Amino acid sequence: MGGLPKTVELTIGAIGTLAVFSFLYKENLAYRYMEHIYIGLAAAHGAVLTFHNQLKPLFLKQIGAQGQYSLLIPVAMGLLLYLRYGPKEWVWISRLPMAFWVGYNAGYTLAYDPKVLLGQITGTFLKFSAKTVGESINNILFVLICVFTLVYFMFTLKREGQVMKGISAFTRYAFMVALGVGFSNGIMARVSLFLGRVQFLLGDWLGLVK
Amino acid sequence: MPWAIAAPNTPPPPTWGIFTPGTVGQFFFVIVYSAVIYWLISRAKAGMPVPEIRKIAGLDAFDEAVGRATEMGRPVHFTPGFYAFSSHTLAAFSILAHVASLCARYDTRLIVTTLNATNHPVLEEIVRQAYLEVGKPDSFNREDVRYLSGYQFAYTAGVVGIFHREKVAANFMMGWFLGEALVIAEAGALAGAIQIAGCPAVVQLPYLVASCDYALIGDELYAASAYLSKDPVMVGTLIAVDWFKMFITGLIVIGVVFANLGSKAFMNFITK
Repeated sequence: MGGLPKTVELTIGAIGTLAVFSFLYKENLAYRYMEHIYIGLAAAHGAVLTFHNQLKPLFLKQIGAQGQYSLLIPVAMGLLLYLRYGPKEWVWISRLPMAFWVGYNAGYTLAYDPKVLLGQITGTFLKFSAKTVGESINNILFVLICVFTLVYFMFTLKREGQVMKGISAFTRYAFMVALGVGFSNGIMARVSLFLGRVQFLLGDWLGLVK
Repeated sequence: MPWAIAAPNTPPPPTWGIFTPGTVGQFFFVIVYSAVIYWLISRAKAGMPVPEIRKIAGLDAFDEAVGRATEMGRPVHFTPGFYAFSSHTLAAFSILAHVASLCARYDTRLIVTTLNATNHPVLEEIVRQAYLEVGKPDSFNREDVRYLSGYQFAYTAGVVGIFHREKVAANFMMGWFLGEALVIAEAGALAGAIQIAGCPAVVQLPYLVASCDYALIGDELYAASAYLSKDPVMVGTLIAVDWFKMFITGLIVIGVVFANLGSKAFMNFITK
């Protein structure tokens, strides 16, 4: 696609971008308009996507052509959710698929989380005397912070006594360092996203930057 | 010549004849863990003594935030995060019950938003129940529990708009958040709302700590939900998790000692 349609597409995108950025000044009509368009577009996109990627292949291909009738069970469970809009005496039925969903998630967590957890535990079995001094310090700090963080998040232990207070203070400092690193990392990513939009406005739309 | 003939890929024989290799430790871990949780929940339900949960710093701010919104005559906003029916969402539900109860008691408007359609009926039920429990079922407004969009940033744009149009005075962000965390929290700060966040997502915590007035970090979200709800199931589970943290701490200490002695015996034992 090129020529006029492309220019129109870019201009609509640029107007949308500028309308969203106008929020940095204050909440205004342009932002509000774009917010509603965004939500409306997302709803429309979601509906079309669900129809083409989920419902159509499910009913026409899997159930209709391949005869996988067992798939009607989750369909029925999904439909039961809508009974909450039905007569009051039937509303309780809508909770059954919810209960199934919660139970499924709890079971899944119980079955698959221990594997990850054990991997994390064995990952802390580090040698304090590593190949380099830097690595050794790294390993010692890693184990100390890991153990102290676990102690920090034990909610039945009261933060009384010098040892607990010391562990708590040490862990807080470790958190501050970790959160600081995370914050700066995130800001870099956000700046990168912002530069992407600036590149779009000045380069793709206005052609001022090649 | 590794490409010439590949060795037949035969699966290793099962451990003790029944277990997939590497899952024996996990199996016993789950069994013991479940048994301890069941035992502690039973004790808590029966009113028998269980270890006390210490108060989490930041919980007092809940009353402060709702109180401030009440004084200003402005609404409170609550979001349970990104996902549906995960442990953090369930914790967020318990906290919502407490916040909704406070709002209902003080006649403060509560707006709950979600980007997960499956959360919506549960959220509505929780808020309705809270209003019912304080004897004000007519004050519950179904329109204030809103599913905005299933798309992350469309939802975020909606929340940002609500903050400014409805002049939200207090914002609760409880649950798992992704990229929308900073955008929502910044919009809350711009709107002048007192903000309390609770999030176990390490990646998003820095933004929430920086932009919110109070933050429940990591497991404090789960502890807060148990502390506030006093629900024996949650209290029992939290204590069991605490005990397992102690157990895991012990495993780590022993494992590190063995590793530094140059032995892999312990590692092999727990990954059997």
